[in-house]
Amino acid sequence: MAEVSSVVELHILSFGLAALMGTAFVWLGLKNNKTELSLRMPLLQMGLLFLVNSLIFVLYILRDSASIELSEVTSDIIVHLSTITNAFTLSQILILTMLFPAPLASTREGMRTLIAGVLIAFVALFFLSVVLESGELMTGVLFWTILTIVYFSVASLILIRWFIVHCTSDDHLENNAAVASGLMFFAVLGAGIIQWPFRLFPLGKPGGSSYVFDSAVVEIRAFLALPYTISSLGLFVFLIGSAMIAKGKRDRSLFTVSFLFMAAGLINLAAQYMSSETGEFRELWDYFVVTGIFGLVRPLLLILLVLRFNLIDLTDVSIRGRIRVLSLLIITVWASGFFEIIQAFIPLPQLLSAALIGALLAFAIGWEEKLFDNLLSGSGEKMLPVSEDFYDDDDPYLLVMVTGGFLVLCVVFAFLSYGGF
Amino acid sequence: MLNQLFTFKSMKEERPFLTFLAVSLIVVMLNISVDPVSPQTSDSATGISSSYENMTMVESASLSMNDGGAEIVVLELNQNWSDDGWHIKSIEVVLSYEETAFADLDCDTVSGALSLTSNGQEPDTSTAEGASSDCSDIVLSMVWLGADEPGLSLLASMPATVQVDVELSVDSTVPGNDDEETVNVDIELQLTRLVQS
Repeated sequence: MAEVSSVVELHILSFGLAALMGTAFVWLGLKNNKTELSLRMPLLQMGLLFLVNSLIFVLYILRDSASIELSEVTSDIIVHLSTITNAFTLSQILILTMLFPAPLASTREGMRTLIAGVLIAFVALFFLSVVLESGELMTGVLFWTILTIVYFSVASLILIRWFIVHCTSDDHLENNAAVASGLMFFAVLGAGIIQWPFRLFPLGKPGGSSYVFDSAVVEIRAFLALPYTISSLGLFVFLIGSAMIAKGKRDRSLFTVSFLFMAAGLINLAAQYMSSETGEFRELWDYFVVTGIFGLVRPLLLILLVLRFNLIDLTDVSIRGRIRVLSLLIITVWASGFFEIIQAFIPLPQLLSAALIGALLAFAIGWEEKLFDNLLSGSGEKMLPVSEDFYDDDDPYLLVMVTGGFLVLCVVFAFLSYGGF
Repeated sequence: MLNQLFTFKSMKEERPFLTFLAVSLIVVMLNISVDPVSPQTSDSATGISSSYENMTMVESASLSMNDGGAEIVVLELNQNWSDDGWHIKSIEVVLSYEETAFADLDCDTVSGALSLTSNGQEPDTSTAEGASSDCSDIVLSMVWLGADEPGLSLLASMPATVQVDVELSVDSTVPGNDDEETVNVDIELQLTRLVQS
């Protein structure tokens, strides 16, 4: 079996993929004026989420790389910063679920209030975790846990509600919103969803890095169970819903994604229970399952969402050309990341690995051409129930600035968390 | 304030969503009532600080030694353990032996020394050397007290090498009757790491 050093290589590839997608989405969100602002705002938010993810991958590379020798203090601050920044991505995900598939508020002012509420709660919950911190829990971990419980649960409920309310709707746009909410659910909450067997069958904790932490206190366990229970049940809502809906409203891609996540949960269950808890296989499995979903599956599903629901104006020839080049770059990085995971479990000779990547790329490039041709036929249509002129022209800029400001705040929180709270 | 498409509607229309909420509540309650210990989880994960994952590593060796002989038992942990966040919080070594020579009333003398080469901090308490001449167990240990501190910076980290030096000196009430003995060495390492997302 390969060495755990593959972990750093996967971080580097995941960083590349996240940075690539982040910059592309942010650029399209800010500059692609031909697309409605109501569609560009969620695109921009996805881009910002990817950029923050890429920053987290940089921190992971610094933390895990054997060639970079950090002092104990720097290493600790990096751990704190990655925890706090991870917590911030939960806020970004919650905001994204408020922007997509349609604005959660009825007015622009209402939307701003909701987003401000999420961000103010982010700050308030940090100080709450400072106050609640006991000898057992350090501030950063407690903060991350509280945000997981609150933001993860709320984000899941919002997306599940979109689906339940509109999956049987006769309105084409509302029906699309239900499908979009399902795909978004799997894209942003994926790593928690594969824990479903541990939540729905009372088998105990899954262990591994996909698991926040456990507690002997019943009340705390109840809260810890909440987000993953909601998302696990949500998986079955999407799976059964997309399978049972009448033809015409049924969506094959949502059903396939739900089914694959359900199967991944069962495979994860088997791997957790059949492997030795302290063995290298288990370590690699825990790591790659979570990071694989976070770093590789999320980009794939979000690209599907963006292209399928016309968040990018593919009728514009210049945009379309750039997106195709970008897609090829993304496919290349993605294929390398995928084979990095395979190689961690099954060491392959370099030549064979390169040949397999080449074969996958050839297949993917052919698929990309076909996909683009299919997408172009419906690219002028309005796909989601969004209203024009909902946002102001300054809103994209404001969103970028607020995200930048909160990243600086994350650094401050990391130092506060390390330095004495 | 909320989008018309998202606001609550009539009770009949909301029934599927309310059912979902009720089922979620029931499953959460079921999860609370089940002891969250996996079939494979050792005692290491229970009863200790909830934000840390703990693991016990055990290494045993049985040494056949001659009079005046010395043996070394080495346990190495490579950098990968530190890369995955593991730190050493305690080491316990038990040296045990019996007088096996027939009709010999005098136990042999066994001495042991525990040493650690690692990154990180020195142990807060340690019993690095010990000897026994009455067949009782020799217990050597190193303990770090900073296991609950944020950042685990007060513990030892990998790469680490745990080395146990064992020496045997035969004592016998029957001359020429006893010149070898078997000494069992049990090394137990307690590792801990902060569970991260």
